[in-house]
Amino acid sequence: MNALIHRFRPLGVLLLLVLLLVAPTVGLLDGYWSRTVMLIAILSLLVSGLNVVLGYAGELAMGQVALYAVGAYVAGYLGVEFGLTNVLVALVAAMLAAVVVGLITGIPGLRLGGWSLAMVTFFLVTLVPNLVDVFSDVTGGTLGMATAVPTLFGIEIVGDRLYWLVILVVIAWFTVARNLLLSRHGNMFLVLRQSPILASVLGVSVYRLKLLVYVVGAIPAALAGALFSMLDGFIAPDTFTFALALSVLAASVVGGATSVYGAIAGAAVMQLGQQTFTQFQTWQLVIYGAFLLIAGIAFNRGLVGLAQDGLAAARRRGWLPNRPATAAAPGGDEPVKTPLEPLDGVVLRTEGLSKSFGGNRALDDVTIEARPGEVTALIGPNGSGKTTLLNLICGLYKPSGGRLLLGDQQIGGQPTYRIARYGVARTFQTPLIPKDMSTLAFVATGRYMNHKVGILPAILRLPVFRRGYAADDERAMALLRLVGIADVAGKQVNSLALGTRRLVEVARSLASGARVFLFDEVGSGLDESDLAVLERAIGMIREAGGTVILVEHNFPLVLKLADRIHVLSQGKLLASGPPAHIQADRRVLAEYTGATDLPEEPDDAHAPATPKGAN
Amino acid sequence: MTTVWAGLATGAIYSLIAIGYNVVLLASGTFNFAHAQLLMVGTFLAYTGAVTFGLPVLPTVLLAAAGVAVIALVEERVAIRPLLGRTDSHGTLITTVGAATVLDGLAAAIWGRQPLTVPSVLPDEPLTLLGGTVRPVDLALIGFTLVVGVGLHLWSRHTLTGLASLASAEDRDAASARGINVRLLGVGAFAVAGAVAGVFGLLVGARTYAVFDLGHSLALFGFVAIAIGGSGSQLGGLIGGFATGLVYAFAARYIGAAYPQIVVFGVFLLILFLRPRGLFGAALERRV
Amino acid sequence: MRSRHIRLSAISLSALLALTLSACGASGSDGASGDDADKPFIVYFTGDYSGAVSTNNASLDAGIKIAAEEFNAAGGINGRKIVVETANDQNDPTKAVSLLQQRLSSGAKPDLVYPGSSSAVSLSLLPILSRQKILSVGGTVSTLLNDPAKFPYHFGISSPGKDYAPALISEAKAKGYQKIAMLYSNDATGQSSAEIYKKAVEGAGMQFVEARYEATALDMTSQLNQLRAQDPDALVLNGYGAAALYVMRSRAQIGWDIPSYCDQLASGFPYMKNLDAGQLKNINVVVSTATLASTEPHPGLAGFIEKIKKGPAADGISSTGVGLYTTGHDALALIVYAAQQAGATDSDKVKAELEKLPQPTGAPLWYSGGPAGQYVKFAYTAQDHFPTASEETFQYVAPGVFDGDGFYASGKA
Repeated sequence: MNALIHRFRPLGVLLLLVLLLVAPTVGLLDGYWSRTVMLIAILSLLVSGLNVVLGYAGELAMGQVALYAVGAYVAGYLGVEFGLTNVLVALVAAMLAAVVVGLITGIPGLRLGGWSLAMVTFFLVTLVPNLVDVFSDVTGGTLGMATAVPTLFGIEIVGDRLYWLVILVVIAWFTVARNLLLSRHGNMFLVLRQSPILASVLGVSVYRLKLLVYVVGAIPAALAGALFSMLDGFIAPDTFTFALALSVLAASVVGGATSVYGAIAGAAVMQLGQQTFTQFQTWQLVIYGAFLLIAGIAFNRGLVGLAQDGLAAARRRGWLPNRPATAAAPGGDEPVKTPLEPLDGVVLRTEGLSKSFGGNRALDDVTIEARPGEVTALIGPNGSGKTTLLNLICGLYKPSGGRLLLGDQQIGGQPTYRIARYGVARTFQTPLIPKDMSTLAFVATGRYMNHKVGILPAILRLPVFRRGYAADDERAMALLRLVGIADVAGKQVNSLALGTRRLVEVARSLASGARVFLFDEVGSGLDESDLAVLERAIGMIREAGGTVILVEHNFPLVLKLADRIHVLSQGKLLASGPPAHIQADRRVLAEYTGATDLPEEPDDAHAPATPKGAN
Repeated sequence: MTTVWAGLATGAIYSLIAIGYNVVLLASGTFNFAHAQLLMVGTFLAYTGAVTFGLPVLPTVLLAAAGVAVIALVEERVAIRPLLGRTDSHGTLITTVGAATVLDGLAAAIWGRQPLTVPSVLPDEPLTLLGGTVRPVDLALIGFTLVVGVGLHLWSRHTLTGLASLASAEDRDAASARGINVRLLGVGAFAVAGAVAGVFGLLVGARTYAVFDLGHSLALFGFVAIAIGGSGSQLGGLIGGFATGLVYAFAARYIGAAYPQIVVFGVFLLILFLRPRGLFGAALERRV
Repeated sequence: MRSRHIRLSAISLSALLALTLSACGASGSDGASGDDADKPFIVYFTGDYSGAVSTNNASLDAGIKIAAEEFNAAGGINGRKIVVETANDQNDPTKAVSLLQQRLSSGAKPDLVYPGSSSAVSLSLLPILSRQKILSVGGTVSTLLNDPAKFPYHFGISSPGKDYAPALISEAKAKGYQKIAMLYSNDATGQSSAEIYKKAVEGAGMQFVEARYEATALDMTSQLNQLRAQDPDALVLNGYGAAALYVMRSRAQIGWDIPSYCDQLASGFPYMKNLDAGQLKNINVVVSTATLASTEPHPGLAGFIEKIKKGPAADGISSTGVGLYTTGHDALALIVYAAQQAGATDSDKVKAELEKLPQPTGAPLWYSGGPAGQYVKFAYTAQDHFPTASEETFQYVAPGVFDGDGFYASGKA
């Protein structure tokens, strides 16, 4: 029965879509309802654009309405001024205009980060009436513009034909959105939303990826605008208001921002709600406001979230069959003994590396060397500069002085994503773990840069995408088995315990095929058996020829694993040498016994921007 | 100079909105879209006190302050608290808009849709000051806004509660762990924001009249003020508001009606590039 | 006892049967009669019942409903009972279209539509109404609506803005003004008003200067100072609601008591309630002579006003004046008159009749025409579907208030 459902699902979806398309023709939808469906469809495009930006990349962009206006006016102007009423021309032109406006507004908005995109796009919405007025020769000004009747190869696109056009465009967009979001790219958007730092450590240029997401999100809004101008035949600045921007936001939240189809549900709720509330007359505002209040609270995870909760509950109680296992682990769960493929390790050297925060010298003239096929450990009390050093190596901090060499290449001061692309992978003291993603998919994001599948193949689901996806999954699965946690491959990665998260991060860093591995307190919080797995994994990296830098409080573990130990104290290098040598060093002993060492306290307490936590 | 006075008086109202946004933003990390509506209700309560009940100035102000504070607390209880602790949600963006819409609708139902004249407490005869004319009540508005804005700024930087509020805006969990009562701070912020909005009901109403849809335009300009001044900085919001008012007044006087918004956007972009965090930095900026 | 009981139930049963039969008869004749003489004449009234202009809408709504009652009492429209249906479009064109679509797809088509309270709403509805050949009569005044080629079934009931301009020009000529300034809201209504006054002023050989304000502005001193710097002789003002008040307050604040004339929109606002005499110095508003307290009223108005005062929209009469009620009333009265003349109620015949409507002698069915039909005239042609005004239709007076009967009493607080 279960298999039956799954086999016939595509067919069922297809049937539903066909039914939706022919509904007005066969009399299932009257004029009012077909218009309502079209309005929902158009609103869902706007919401979907916002979902891509807000729900997936975590940027609050209010500019959907401005792009909606751009699409409407571009389509309207082409028709009125040049007689270009062909709907395909109008849609393509609207898309191009969206890309241009998206780039123009996205570059200043995203370069500066923080709230600036929200603010720039907010201004964009408020500027719509002014710009329409300033360019009133083109736009018809505040009086509005009556658009031409849309055509396709000489056929007038009105009535049912317009309905088909709207539905087909919406289907096309949601196919694109689904294929994009349910791919490594969509996963990378989720990583970006959770932590731009994690994204950059994975080799992704945060700025460029955000710009890409923002521009992609602009496209459906402009399509919606073009369709709206065809539907109403009249566009005026009164339509493109901040209130509409808020409705779009509300629909996004109600439907569930981090979902593909939530946009449709949210748009339907908002559109039907607004149409229904008009009959309340005097109390309409109060009732609409109350509706927003209740929707915001009740659907705060979105209708999709609500539905997922419901399904999960139904499954738990056995009302519904369980999902087929998402990642059928080929070859069982027993740890694999096979060592890693050879890693192309490289010497990492710091020369007189220093870092100051204001007047505070967090790291002072540190020279160390980490060689391939060796484990180099950094130890020292809290605030001694261990994590600062790791942050300098992977580019999260810019050095105040000294050099940082990867092989013969000076990498100090380069952006994080570029250093990551040279083959520097790292884990975090507090693992950075995204939401809404399976463990397997998260580990596979490690391969995003080095085994890249383009966006177009992903959208078109080309064979190259399928092959890449399969290879990613296979490799990720093998790595999860390597660290002994293949059983959690199908689980939501943010549902895992701290110890498991650390192992997931190790697998993720291995997935990239890095040359240098930076492990930040990777052993803390692990139980005995996990520690054993970790030891074996690090041992394997060493044997495979990788360069490992280990920051660790667990002194016995360090002694067991390290080939060479550097002791940091108050930002200075206190001692260096093989484990036996360090173990005998009196100064080190004094430093350790004298220090008020609380392993759970964050390191580098005085450094203002220690990467940590999932916020 | 008349243009300057007009810009400052209008700007004072924008500043008040920005200050209200900031008080709540700083203490509880939520953006209260309904703040402009709280000010709108303040003008209506001032009207009720001064005209309907015929109260003198002080009781009117107290009535409006208490009334709006209570409404703000109800809003916090209904629109904010149910969503507390759900970090990954934009729910409050919607619920506060919902609260704003409810307030619009209730004001229209209670006080009607026609503008009501809130009496100005000072003589209506315009003064000539520094070469421009200005109404005394507008001068009072400018003055009191400055006092409140600077006062709140100093309070947030130099008192324990203020610093606690900054810390809580920075990181709720960490602040909570340090023994700061984050929830009480949030509730208090709503009460303070509401009371301030109520206190100004009389002065603002004398300029804007009491109209049920006043909140719409004020909310937009409040954002503009925040965008220019930087979110989370009381001084920034204060100066952002006045700057917005001045730019609008001068652009309307010398350029033309369609352009003020565009000029303000230009100013905003300039500030964005020169001072990426807004004129006065922003407590909410962080790296991760 | 028992027999009485049976008899009673027998009576009630036969009564029930009779009712059912008559209902059947009604629906039966519906289907049979081609001229739908027994079908109700449906008036679809779309307006803003919850937004910013809902007060005005309530007055229009009451006017058209009272008119329906009156005409029904007098036998309906050519024997057909008039039924008024309403829809809350919130003054939003998109919503208005949705609601009309919804109405059109359920049940009998309306016979007459009052297409909303703003020109934008009317403009978005008219293409559909034209396609469906539904008659519409509206109080909205955008010149785009007066396009019989495009919208053959639409007729305007209110005087368009251009009919108000002559009142200003005659005033300006009498006072010898050379340069006239105008301050208007930067929206569709303000822009079309400015266009009309510009044309009229320049056409009369005077100079015209202008400034605009945004609908969200709280203060207009800057714009007024800009105009003042150009030293005009008189000022025309546009705006409504709070914006109109801000204009007046700003004008008083900069101490500029230049002779000022409100345009049609701005004249409709009750200034006396919110402003004092000092702030209103030298302000004039334009009013329809038919609604001035000092002129002779239409003979039917007294009864009409009595009905308004008994109705749910009684409060509005002293704030919006009787004019809006009569607009609602006249929209229906006009069609009733045309249908009477044509002897038919179908849209093509009524339309044809409207385009060659014989002007009534004595008091017309519509109130805006005044006691002898001398003020607003509905002399439509195939090219012009808007009413025409005469010299005496509008005049400038000092701002006043509406008295208890909704007549404009100039200069009295």
